[in-house]
Amino acid sequence: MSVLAEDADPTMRTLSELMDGEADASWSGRACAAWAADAAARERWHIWHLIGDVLRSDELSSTPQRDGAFLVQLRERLAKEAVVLAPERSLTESRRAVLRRRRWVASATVAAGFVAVVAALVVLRDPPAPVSGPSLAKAPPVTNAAPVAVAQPAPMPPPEPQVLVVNGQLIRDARLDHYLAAHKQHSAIGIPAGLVRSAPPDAGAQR
Amino acid sequence: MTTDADAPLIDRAKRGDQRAFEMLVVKYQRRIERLIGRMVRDADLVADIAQETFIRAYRALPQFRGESAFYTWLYRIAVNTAKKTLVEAKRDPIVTESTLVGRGDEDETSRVEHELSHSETPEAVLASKEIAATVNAAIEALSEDLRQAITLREIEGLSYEEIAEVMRCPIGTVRSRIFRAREAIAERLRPLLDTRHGERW
Repeated sequence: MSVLAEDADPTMRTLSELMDGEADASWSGRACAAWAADAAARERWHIWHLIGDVLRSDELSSTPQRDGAFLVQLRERLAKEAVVLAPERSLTESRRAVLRRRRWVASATVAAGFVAVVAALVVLRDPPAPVSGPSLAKAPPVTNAAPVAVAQPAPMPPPEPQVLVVNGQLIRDARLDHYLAAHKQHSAIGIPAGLVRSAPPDAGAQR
Repeated sequence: MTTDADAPLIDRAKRGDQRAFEMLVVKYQRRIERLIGRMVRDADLVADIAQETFIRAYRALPQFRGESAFYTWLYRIAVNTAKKTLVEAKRDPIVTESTLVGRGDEDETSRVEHELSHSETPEAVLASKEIAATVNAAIEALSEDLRQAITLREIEGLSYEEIAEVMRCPIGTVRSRIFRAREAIAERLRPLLDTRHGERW
């Protein structure tokens, strides 16, 4: 009768609180683990509940032999049950898998965009060819312009004059041509041929 | 109390922890059997229906939303299982009249003595009575503080906070008193139970 709560196993005290729904959530897992692993915890769980039942009604009195046999039989039946209780952890994991997939797609999209921008910058930062003087005859024939919707890499255009100025007006700039060619190349990726009407890069200049 | 005292165990059982469900079985088995015993006379059949009740509860546990107390939910499953068994028993010519108590919807408060079975021998009945007498004697032997704490919890169903208010002491003291009361009563019961540290569980 001289049981001191302070000297008792904290797990047993938690078990007592769990009985009454007063155990801290973080400790209830430990109490359940004790039930699974510790025969003394199982014995107490049964006796304490039996005491509570008897206090409420003498009719609820029973023997450990009888109650134990009931649980053993039920445990055998539960083992045969094909019931899936849908553990929350599995649901969380499946949700995580979906999120991981979404995150991967988003990352890939961002990476593709970044590659496109870097490619455009690389093209624009090409070292300028030495200017050999303005000459319309040296400009590439505009009829060679490939359709936009081609997934293959476009051939590098032949060397062009850096800047073409006629009568003090800028007619064309080689860096702009490179940019437009690269833009056409990258924008064509993934777009089926025929969906986008091609426009020659110098169409504006012909007007 | 607004929250179900069984919520932590239910949550764990829902996440697939079968041991948590077993703890709930140990807690409610006797109450469920008494309830079914009001409806069915044969004690073996009572145990079978109780088993079936817990199996059905286990299957339906993912659908339990906690809108009612767990025991209320379990109670309904037990009553429905017993009624279904009774309907089937009435169709079965082999089942004798003695199996049935009478009305299938009698409530828990009515007393009907059911027949003894193999699992309920006169010795077992005597042992149960002895256990009840020992518990009651142990309660009487407790100090006033411990007796009041355990009585307010087990019989009145008060929360620790409510007991602390009634007894005008900190909650920590309530926790300690209830634990000590349980341990003191269990100590007096153990010679009768011969459980040798839960070997049956």
